[in-house]
Amino acid sequence: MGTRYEKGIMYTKSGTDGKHHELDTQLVYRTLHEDKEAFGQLVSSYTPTFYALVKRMAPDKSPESIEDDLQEIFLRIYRALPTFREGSPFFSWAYTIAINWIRSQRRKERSYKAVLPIPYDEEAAVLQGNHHTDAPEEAAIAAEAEQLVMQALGELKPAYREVFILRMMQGLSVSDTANVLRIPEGTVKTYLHRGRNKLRDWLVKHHWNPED
Amino acid sequence: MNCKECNAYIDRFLGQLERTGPAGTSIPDIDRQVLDHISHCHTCAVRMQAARMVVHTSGHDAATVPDLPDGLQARVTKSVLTAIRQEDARTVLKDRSNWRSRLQKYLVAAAAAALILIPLVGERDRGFIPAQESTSQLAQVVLQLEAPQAEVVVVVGDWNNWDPQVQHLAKNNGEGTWSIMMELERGREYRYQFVIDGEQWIPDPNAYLQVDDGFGGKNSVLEM
Repeated sequence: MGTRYEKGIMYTKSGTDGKHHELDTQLVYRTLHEDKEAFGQLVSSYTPTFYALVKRMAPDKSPESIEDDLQEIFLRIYRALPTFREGSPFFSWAYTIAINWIRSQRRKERSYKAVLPIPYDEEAAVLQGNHHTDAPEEAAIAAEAEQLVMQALGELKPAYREVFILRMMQGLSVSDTANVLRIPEGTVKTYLHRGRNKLRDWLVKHHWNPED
Repeated sequence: MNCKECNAYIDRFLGQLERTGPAGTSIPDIDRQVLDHISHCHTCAVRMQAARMVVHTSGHDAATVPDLPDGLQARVTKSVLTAIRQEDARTVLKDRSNWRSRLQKYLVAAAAAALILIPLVGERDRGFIPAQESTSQLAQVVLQLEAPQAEVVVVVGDWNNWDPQVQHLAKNNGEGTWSIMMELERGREYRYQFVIDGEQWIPDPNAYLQVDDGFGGKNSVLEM
């Protein structure tokens, strides 16, 4: 599933989208036949998707640290390419590797802070590029709203958080979310329902307002 | 409408979560007074947008992502390609090393078998066995360079048309030594240089001979 990226917007399509699926498969085939530039195309295509994924799954990471993670994720995907089954969607297969890598990193980092409430810090948001004054107002609002939701997500169980991020923020379908996380579609729907209810409760409880 | 009233509206909006279908609620469904308020109140606009993210009022065709840092795609692509080339080069070296090791074992085993078999051969057949000259036109050569600070080292020369994309040296783990094993045609003289990090062209300090390259630098000479 190639990803078209324009400033702030990631246009994603279903992992079962035939055209993108075919293109990805061709690039994988070429990579396995010594065409490294083909893998470069995959890396470039998936960088926005996985950048957003790492940033959302581990919001305390610095941009430099995310960049290191991206390199490691793509190297793991490359090393695993010989095990990729032709005909299956590359997109969900690669996503699973990325998710597993992020999970393993979280286990290693005992001081992982995402499970704790993350205080909203507008200055930090500015530094992280989530909010900049020269951006259109809508983009700034969207970035700050995501920061607020990320703060609420820190309160959720990891399983609910992962489902919410993949389904609601990364834009995956229920089916793709289930494939990536290796759980039944019914479980995706259940976790999503519970996660959204928890987020709603959190937002109702925390009237984020600097004037309060 | 003031912020307090807007907050109350957003709470009610969140309360309809249970009733929203897959498509959620679209912007026109939001109260016009609220839209007016959030058009000039940044704080309430952010909270309304967060509520829409949770209730899910947008489709799945477009997912927003944080702005990418400048040049991220190019940097990640370059670093990944560099890393996999180095890994592949190491794998080739390791495979060849294993191949040599296996070959040595076979030769030892063959020599042992010959020693055992010779006494079984008749006197007439025993005698001088000419050493077989190698019929291969290729010979293996290993080039090494000490460059602890380098991130990428390639070798360019006559045999690869001085193309800096073709032959990457592999860095030995934990050391500053880079190496590459190549097969070159016998009976020829080659000229070459190393390129460090895509910028610095240097001759091989271990080469027995350096000659002018015609551009103010030196080429190393390799005789096969």
